Amino acid sequence: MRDLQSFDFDKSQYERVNQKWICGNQSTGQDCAKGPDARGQCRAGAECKPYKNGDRWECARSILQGGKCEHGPQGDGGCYHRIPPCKPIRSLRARRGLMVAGVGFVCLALAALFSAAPLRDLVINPGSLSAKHSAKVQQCDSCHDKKTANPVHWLGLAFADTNQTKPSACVNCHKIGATAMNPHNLDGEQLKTIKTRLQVSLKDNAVQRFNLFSDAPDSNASGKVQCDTCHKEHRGKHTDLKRVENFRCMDCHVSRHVDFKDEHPEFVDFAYSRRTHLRFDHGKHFEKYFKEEKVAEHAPESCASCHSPDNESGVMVSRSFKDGCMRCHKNDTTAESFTEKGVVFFRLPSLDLDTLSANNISIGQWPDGLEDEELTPMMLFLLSSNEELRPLLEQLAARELNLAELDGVPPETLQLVGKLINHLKDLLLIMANQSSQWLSLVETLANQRLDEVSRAAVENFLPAQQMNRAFAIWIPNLSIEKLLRNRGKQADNKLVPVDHELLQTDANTVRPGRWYVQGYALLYRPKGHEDEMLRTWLEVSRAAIMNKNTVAMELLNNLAHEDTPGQCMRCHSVDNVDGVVSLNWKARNLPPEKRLFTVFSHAPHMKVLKADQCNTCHNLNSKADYAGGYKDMNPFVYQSNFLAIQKQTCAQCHSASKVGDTCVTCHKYHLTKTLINGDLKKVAAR
Amino acid sequence: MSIRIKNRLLRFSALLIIALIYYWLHQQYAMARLEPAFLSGWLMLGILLLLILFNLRKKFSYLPLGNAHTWAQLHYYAGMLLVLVFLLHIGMRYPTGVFENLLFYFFVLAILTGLYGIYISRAFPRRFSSRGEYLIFERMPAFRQALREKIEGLVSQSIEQLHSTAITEFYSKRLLPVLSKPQNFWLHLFNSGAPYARWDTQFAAVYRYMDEKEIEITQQIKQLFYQKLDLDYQYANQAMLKYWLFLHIPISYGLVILVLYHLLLTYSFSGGL
Repeated sequence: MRDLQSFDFDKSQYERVNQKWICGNQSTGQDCAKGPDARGQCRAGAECKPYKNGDRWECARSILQGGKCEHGPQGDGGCYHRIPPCKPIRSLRARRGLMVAGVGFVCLALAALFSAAPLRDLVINPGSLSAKHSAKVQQCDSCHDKKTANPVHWLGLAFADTNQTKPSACVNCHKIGATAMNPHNLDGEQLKTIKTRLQVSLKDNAVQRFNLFSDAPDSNASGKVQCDTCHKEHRGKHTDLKRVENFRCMDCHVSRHVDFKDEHPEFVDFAYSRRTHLRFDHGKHFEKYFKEEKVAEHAPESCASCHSPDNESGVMVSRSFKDGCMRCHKNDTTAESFTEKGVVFFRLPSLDLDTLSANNISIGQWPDGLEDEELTPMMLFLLSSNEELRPLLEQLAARELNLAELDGVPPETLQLVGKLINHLKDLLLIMANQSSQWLSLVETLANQRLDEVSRAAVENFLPAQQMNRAFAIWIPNLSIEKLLRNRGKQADNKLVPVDHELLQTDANTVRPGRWYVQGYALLYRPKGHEDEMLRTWLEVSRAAIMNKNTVAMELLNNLAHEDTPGQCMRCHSVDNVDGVVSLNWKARNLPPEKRLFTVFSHAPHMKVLKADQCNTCHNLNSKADYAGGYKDMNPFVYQSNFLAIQKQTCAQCHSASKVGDTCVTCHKYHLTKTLINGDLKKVAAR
Repeated sequence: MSIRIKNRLLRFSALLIIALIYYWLHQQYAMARLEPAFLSGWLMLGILLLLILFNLRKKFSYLPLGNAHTWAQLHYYAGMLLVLVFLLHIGMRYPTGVFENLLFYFFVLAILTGLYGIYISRAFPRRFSSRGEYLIFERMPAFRQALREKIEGLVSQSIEQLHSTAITEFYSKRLLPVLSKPQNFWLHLFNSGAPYARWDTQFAAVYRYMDEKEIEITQQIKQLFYQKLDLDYQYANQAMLKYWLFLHIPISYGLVILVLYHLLLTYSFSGGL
């Protein structure tokens, strides 16, 4: 087929496809050569416009249209060949242009329609809010700027330099605090503490990462992190707003940990970053004690015998003392095995009365026969309610001064000793009278109002009958001397002979939880585990330490000593982290929400492990000097009973293809205020 | 390997490198606590405008703005890059909002019609030399009319010379109804041989009732009629090369309008420029 189309100059006319209008007869193949004009009007007429050659009219039809016709023009110069008129139509290009305009118009109309109030919130909403938010938020301007409710303001808002997603919209409900937009909600100092800790522990991995757009690594807390950086809303009701991709963390964290198994740093001392709150030597118990014949029947069969996951909080809980430890340690808390059954709370000290009298210092009566007795830590503590006496009490606590040998002591100190003894006598009267002054004095020392249990323990501190009897024997004129002192008179110094028979008690006959007199001392025999008396005075001494009472530490050390009857602190450790003293009455079972950075929960892990598979993660370290970690109050200098858990152990399940390995699977971003203040000091202390 | 294939590989390699560079930038942006949708959004708008410039370039053909082939290649590869940026922009997830859905479908339609355009602009030209000659689309009705007149001439000849009614009857009943308009549009578009086979059967059937002279004229008619079939084939393929733009271009312009509206919404609701 080579004869349909010819491109010879006289056989092929030029096609003007760009023209808007074409001949209406084109579809039948009978289109005219002229074609319509630019306005789409048909220009049909004659096929040619004859010209005059001398006196003859000549045909001017072009060769493309067949050349000169046979008949030639009419006599008057007209053409015989008329072009049939048509109704011009738009060219393809013009029709396409119309369609573009039409679609454009429809899109503009849709945009206008979408901006109109009835449809706006429904249509322009980029997606429904997450389930909880959609239940509470009804209007766009609940979170966005109020002006967004009116499309007139949209252009202005688009060019405004402020962020129209109000951070307050989130923190109105989510109470994160003034530092809500700071990284990890920490202020500059707190962030610096964390950063220093990370740089120390992760120094091998702390390679500065290049990022074309980031200024975060050096910005510290000055860089703000908007909520929607991580929490992407408008992605449907079933969106998990807490799901955060790993790379979101990588801007500030210079170490790259996108893949847990290969990129996360090895664990340093996980999960034993500090000694346990309760001192329990797993190594010795399992490798020595439980193997002894006498306790074999009480020995646990596996970890699950004492530990089980709490499904609500997710933490592992240990059996109580009553259900577990007491099987073997029943008598330890009542001092049954001790020679001295009671805790010495009060004891009159030996006094160099001669020196005091020689220096005209009046103290009144003092019992005869005291042999090198010292003030007890409890008495030092109670006497410290008199601020003036504190330097003297500190000297006595440090054994720099002996009240039994005052010869050569400067007169000013002797004056203080006189005041100390008189203050001691006042104190005895307050205690003996059980007056309200007593509770007030203790609460002043603790610098806090005690809870009801503690108040009851303090108020019932000493049975009046026993105290009055003891005081009457020790210092018969105790009340009279007080009257004289109140009148500004001095009582004569005098040693009082004491019937020692009256001051002897057989401690073995004293029931637990009772007081008794032994010589010039008052003692308390602990009643067993959870003794309110001992616990109250331990807490009072702790509170006084926090109130900068310099002699309270002596009392705490005394009560917390493992040879002190009751032996509370043989298992319950005392922490002192940067001057913050805490008594650990309970095992450290932090639920996920109370952990600082991690969200580990035992419960789901125990669902995939059998009861005897705890050693998948926890393996005994028999060489560790566990007890050595409790020699002082620093909880971070210790050796754990267990070998640190290896990252590889976790990576067996925590990978992208198994149970997930995102940063937020194990780590928290938001650190609550209450946790931050206390725990960051611990972080720094490490 | 031909130069054309080499060039194509080269262009694909360049596209791949650019795509990888953008992907890296996208990740960097996200890691910098910035919203990568803003980066990808602006890039998409830029690419979209570049793609539209190709259409405008054709309107200003008198300006020295590079040749059309270069622009077409740029249009194809930029369009493919746009697909990648689009997927990153929407976070590989199906949009949930009503307007977002509309925008999504406009984009998908623009991309699909564009990809179809790339396919036919590369595959169809080969067809024009496989059946008949390449014809100017606008002249096809005239050629169809010319063929019809030639066939009618042969039919008249058969009446005058042979007094045959068989040819006249065959022409009037079978051929005439299909000579005035293009036929078998979709079959030709799918490069089917069915129309030719069907007419082979029809002509073979009519030969049985003719003598030698009638067959001779009928064969001439068949030759002309098959030229008409080739003409229809050319028409169908050329028409598709023009008609797909009736979808692609309006959708693309509509998309630009919706994208600008999307931009306005995004910035007015999420922050200043």
